[in-house]
Amino acid sequence: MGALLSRRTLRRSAIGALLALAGALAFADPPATVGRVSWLAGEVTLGDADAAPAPAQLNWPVTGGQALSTGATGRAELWAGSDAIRLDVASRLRVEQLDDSALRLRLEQGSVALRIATADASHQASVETPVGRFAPQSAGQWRLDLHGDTLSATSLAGTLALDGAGTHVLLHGGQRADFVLRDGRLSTAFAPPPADDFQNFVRARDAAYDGRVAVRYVSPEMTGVESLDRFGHWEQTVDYGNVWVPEVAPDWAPYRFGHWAWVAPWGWTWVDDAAWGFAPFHYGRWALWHDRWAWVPGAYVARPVYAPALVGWSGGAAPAVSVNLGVGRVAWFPLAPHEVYVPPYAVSATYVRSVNITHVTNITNVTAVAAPAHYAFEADRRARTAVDASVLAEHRAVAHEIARGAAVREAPRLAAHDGPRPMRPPDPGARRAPEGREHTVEPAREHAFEHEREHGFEHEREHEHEPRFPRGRE
Amino acid sequence: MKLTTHPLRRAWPLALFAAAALSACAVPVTRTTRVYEAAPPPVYAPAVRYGTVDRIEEVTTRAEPTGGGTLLGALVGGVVGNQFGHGSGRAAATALGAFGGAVVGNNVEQQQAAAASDRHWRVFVHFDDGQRREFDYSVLNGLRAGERVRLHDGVLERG
Repeated sequence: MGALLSRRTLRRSAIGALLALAGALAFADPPATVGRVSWLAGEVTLGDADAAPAPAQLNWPVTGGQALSTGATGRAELWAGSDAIRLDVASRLRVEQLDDSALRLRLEQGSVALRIATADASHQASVETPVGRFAPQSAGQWRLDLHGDTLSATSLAGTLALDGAGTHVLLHGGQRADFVLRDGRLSTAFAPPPADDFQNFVRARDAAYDGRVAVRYVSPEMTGVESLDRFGHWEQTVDYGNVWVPEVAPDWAPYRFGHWAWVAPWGWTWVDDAAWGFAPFHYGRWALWHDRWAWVPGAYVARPVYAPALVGWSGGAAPAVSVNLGVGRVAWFPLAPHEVYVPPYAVSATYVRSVNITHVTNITNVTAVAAPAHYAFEADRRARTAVDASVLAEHRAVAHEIARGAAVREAPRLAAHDGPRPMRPPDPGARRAPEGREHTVEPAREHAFEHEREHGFEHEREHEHEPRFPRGRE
Repeated sequence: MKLTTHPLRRAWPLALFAAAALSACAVPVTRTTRVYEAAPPPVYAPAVRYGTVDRIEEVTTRAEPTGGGTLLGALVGGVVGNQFGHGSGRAAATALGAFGGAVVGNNVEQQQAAAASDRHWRVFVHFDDGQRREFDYSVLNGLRAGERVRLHDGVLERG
């Protein structure tokens, strides 16, 4: 009897443990908030605990555990919801946590500028440094510079608090302080705010903010709204509500001009080539409206949930990570308005509801959520994109593969025009000039009449219209 | 944001913010609008600036047998004189240079020939601070579009 009871108890506790485990697994949802590489130049690498640092790419999703490094001339910008993070040359920043509850960064080297649009108790931002932890106390803009063992903290607007070595320091707008930790004690010196190229870069990036119109229609917490305004316009439609119509070439289609990457914990993730190519591929749906592609963000939600790619896959299921082992073709198409998105990664019922809430509200039971039998765009040639499975596995540019399939013989001619024509090869018979002659040929002629400082930003806007239709990768 | 808790001298960004918010009321607003303050243009010129080569174009000027180089030099000299007050006139006195001072020594004759000819390269640089400028060279030394460059005391260097 006693043995029976104990066995029953054992079995019960085992079941309980299993249930607890299942519960824990079910609720380990991927973060709803995801950051984005929104601008980069020069050498910029991104790595995490699992993967060695690799060159960072525009529109790459950034989440906790990743580290961003810049080379001697590299600079980068990240957006996470309405927060902007800019990294100067020769800097290293670790993203400790980036999710719905907090943005925690660690500055390991160099300079970072942080812009926080909302000081929300439910979404705390902070930067760990060797001298302590900096936490914004309001909306504002700050900068931290770590060179050697000196950390300079500057508040350009808003209040920043430092907690470290038993000290609590508040910095207000226009103040800068230099901190050094020696023998466990923090020494503080006040100094004027830095005036350098990084500061001008941050100003230029602020001026390039392109979300003023977009935030009337979607939440400012939607990562990627900061790069929409210049590249399209909003329309009010009877069928879909507010839609955003990008200015694209006639043969353009969503999820075609970019590449696929396997990003944990989500899986196959669309990385678009376009400067605006983040929000419209990770939130909402796409529709053909008056024969033009229009992004349909759907119902307004304050904190929309990120999805790696809102597409359907031909054949039903999303490809596995080992898609490279399989041969043959894969095809996908954008989900149309009101079509349910079934995450291919492990999620809870709550997550399925919240990731779909902008377009599908009648999800009551997660077990009932299945891919619909018919998709609006599955058989539509304008929407459907098909490539060899290896294109996914090798992260190759999709549009380039399609173009290559269409006209193989065009490729060598195009490659020849890639970049500027090389200069004439040096004359092999030329002598080396004495060192002293260098100064006579050193300075370049500079034209800057029409590019004076006070007009610099306006010119930038004009010029940036040029690369509006990215076609594959160069 | 509580205005009352801020001393007056710190309140001007908030005032700007408020003004911008007021002006935004003139346009139809369907959702809560968050106004993003536009930063004023930079007022200082740092010694080192970083940028990216946008594109490189071959420029042909009509060469006069006698004064072509001088004419171009004078034109450029005026431009350089406009830059932060240093380097003025230096380019005017010099023939078109080669990109990257140190590497150019191996072919002075070629450079001189290139400078005397009517062909040179115009390098369009987009600086990270938003400014765009053009630089003319007779020899590029392999500089390509997309490369990072650094403007150090008025001289463009490879990044």
